[in-house]
Amino acid sequence: MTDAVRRRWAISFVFQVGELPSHVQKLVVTAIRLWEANPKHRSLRLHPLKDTRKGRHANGSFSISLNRQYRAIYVLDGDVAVWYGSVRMRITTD
Amino acid sequence: MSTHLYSYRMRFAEERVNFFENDLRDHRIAMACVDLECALNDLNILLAELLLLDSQLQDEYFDGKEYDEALSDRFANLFSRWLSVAEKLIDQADGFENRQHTVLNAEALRLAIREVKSGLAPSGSASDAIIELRDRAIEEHRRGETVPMPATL
Repeated sequence: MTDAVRRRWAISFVFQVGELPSHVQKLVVTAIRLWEANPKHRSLRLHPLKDTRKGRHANGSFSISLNRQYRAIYVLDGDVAVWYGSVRMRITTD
Repeated sequence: MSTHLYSYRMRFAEERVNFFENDLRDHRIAMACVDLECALNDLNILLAELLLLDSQLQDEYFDGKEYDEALSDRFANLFSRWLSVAEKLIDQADGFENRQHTVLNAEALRLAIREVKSGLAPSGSASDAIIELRDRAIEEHRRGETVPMPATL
């Protein structure tokens, strides 16, 4: 990761985030801003995701923690981080 | 009293004793099950409190609070200990369910256990659904169809 990394949002990510509770939407935005300032900030728990199978592209994904319940995921395409996924770890009640 | 009459009255008494023995055993099992259900519920509530506290800390980090490794380690340790207790109690719930008892709150706790495990081991693998989303995102991006971070959601 370098300072030159730019970020874009996949349209599906915009919709996914729009469906999250409002406090989590705020977390997504603040976490991504923090990631831009310091991707290695310990609270983000940045880590690569291991592919279980090969997709159509070789690019690997990275995950950051919004908290212990939610993750946001991006993929690097050249020098652009494309945010495309939000994952909820907890699935019982809100 | 004739032997026959003694035998008849004793059989009646034996049936009553059997009834109380079974009732006592069933009652003990039922009470143990109720106690377990309460404990499972308490664990679910405790997890909600832990998650809320963790989320509040994360909010503060995002707002600029200096990262406190010791505090974060304590949280991780607390989640691990919660998980250890939850797994022991869910084993007990399994035991009741194997004997055809319904254990309230057990399913919610099983889900919570899976989720806490995921939360404690975030270096997971990308699922097929994630890989498919990733591929679509790359293709969208190369077609120029991605967008900057929206100003508002």
